[in-house]
Amino acid sequence: MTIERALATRQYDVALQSIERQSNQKNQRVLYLLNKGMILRMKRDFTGSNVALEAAKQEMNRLYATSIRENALSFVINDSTVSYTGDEYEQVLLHFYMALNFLELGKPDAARVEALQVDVKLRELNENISSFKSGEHALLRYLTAMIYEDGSEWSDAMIAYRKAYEEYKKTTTTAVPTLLKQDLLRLTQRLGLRDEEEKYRTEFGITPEKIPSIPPQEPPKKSAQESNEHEQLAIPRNGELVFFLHNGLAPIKREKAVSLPDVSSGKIVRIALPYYQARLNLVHAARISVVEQQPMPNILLPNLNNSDLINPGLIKPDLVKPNTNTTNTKTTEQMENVAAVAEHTLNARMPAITARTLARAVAKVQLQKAVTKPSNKDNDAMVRLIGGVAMQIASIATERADTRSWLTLPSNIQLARLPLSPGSYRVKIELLAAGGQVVDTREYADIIVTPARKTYLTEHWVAVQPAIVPTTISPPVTLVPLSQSSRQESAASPASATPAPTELIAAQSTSALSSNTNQAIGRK
Amino acid sequence: MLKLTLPNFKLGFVLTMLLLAGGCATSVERMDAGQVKDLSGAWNDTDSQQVSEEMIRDVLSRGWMAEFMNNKNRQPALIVGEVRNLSHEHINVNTFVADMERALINAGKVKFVASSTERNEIRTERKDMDLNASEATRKAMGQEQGADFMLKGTINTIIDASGSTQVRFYQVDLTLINLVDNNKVWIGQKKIKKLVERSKLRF
Repeated sequence: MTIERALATRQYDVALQSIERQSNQKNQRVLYLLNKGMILRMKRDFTGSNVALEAAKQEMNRLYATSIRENALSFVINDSTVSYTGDEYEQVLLHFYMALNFLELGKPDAARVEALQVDVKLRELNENISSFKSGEHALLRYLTAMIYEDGSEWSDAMIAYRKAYEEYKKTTTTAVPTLLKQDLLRLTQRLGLRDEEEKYRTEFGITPEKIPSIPPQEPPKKSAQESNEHEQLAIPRNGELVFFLHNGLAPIKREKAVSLPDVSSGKIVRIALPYYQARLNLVHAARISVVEQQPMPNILLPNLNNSDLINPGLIKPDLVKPNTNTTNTKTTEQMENVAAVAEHTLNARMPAITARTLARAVAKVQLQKAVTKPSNKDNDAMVRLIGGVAMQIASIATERADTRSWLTLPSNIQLARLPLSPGSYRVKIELLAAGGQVVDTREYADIIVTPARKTYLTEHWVAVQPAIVPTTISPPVTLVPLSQSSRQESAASPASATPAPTELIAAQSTSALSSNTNQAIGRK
Repeated sequence: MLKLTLPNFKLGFVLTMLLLAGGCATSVERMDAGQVKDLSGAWNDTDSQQVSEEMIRDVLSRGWMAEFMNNKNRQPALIVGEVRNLSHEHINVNTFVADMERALINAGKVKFVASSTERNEIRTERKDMDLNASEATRKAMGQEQGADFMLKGTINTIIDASGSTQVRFYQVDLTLINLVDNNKVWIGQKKIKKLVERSKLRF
């Protein structure tokens, strides 16, 4: 059973077992841990997931230093010899999922730690890496804003919402979400930033009558201290259910390979480059609705009173009135297109990958020439010939594209926020196809909404993937002598365009050295 | 440009193999609990110990305790509230809070009452005693000692980074708050600053 199928049929233990095979591969440890963390998340083992993701984070930190040995090897073998450290967007999403795990565990302070780390990380990426496109991590900013807002840190939340807005404006993959617009208006109002509020109002075209109220509006407060005192006196405010839909699976990296003769030496040179192939996804959005309000479970009350989540005493059974509001339904909105970000990242890296691949091709030709050079006096012609052929095979067989990526990531991430009065709920999640028909339904019971706080719920929906039969067609690449141009080659690089599935080229070389077992997720 | 010829390659290959073969066995070295060993630059045991030492010294040397003893003629009772971690790291705050509790109790100056997380279990046990324990050993409800002060705190960090260099600044603030009138009777503070240089190369 493929991991994809195991995930689609929600047999998470089977999926975990099959990724265990990757656990002893040293240069793919980060990938193994990331996948493990994601699958444990889907299994709703958030603590276990965080253990794996934290380990991945530590490993990434260790790999921050460039390995001399691995890079030397990558120059003569292939790019997969370098330990996988994760693309920038993957490194950032790691924090996103850790924060979500903590939030679902009801540990907002621990989630806040992740929010601060994201901030440091994004600063570091913005400063260091040229291929990092700012504007692709708006969602992270948005989540940190929600975390700050939940902790009544209004100014921090405002700054983060503002940054999220700036990033959404920069990115082309996702439009500015309506939710963010509402948040910006609400917070500018709360903080008394009249000019900014007016500015957003004109930009969004939202008139004062349409002011959204999630949670209900209150007069601007001067300090957190005051507002806390005010809230304790007031009737319990609405809580909020924050629902994240992790939709589908991120695209999978495939290899596109060409073998062509080097005109000057007559040697066969193989060039393999990676490209992304989208995976099937049926779900377009999700609709979340309250099925019923449950009685507050009494067993949970003592724990709740002691947790830092709520003001003790506010949840009294008599205060929890049955919710008669029938409009408790929200449809999710896309917050990040992970698939597009992944493709964007690869495209930005393509020139560097191509250059490295070509340099390696040149090096391999040089190696073959060195073996067949007649100057070695003790070698007779036969030995040279065998050596030459062996070198030729080795150099072709080892030339594989680096197709490693975090395959259990969703294709896109969507969000819905549902204001609810405090209490315990059973909610229904309907997964909708593009036409609006319901593809699948999930139900979650005992969702506890506490006054003036956010409760988080996530769902990762994976479609059953159709079996892909790789077809071989010849690639439209003009044969160019290697010595002539690397520039022409990179311009004609086949992977820079997004290929249709039919263009898929199965470059099946049986190499012991190329260890792309992460493809197991997609292939076997 | 580096020219790769066969002898070069062979030499490189042998060297690589030697490097791969080296350093395989696990080694264990016992360390004194007070010994300083910084590995990643993150919050570690040494930081925690430094904080507890500083806090204990400070809290015992200040006037709030004597004042309370003069007024009430008994030892103050303390309760541990929440120490919020507002830092960039997942820090276990229990270590230095426990250190402080231990030092204060052992110095015989204050009493600590069970914190809100601890006392539920004790109350359950007392309820259970009501039903199952003998008359003579049964403990009655409603006899708990109320605390006079609550110990609260925060850990904050500021991180400044450029390239592979980081300056990490930790500030731990602990406060004793009088439960009668919300007066803060003691504020302890410990600042720790570290310069962390991350290596750019490895084998």
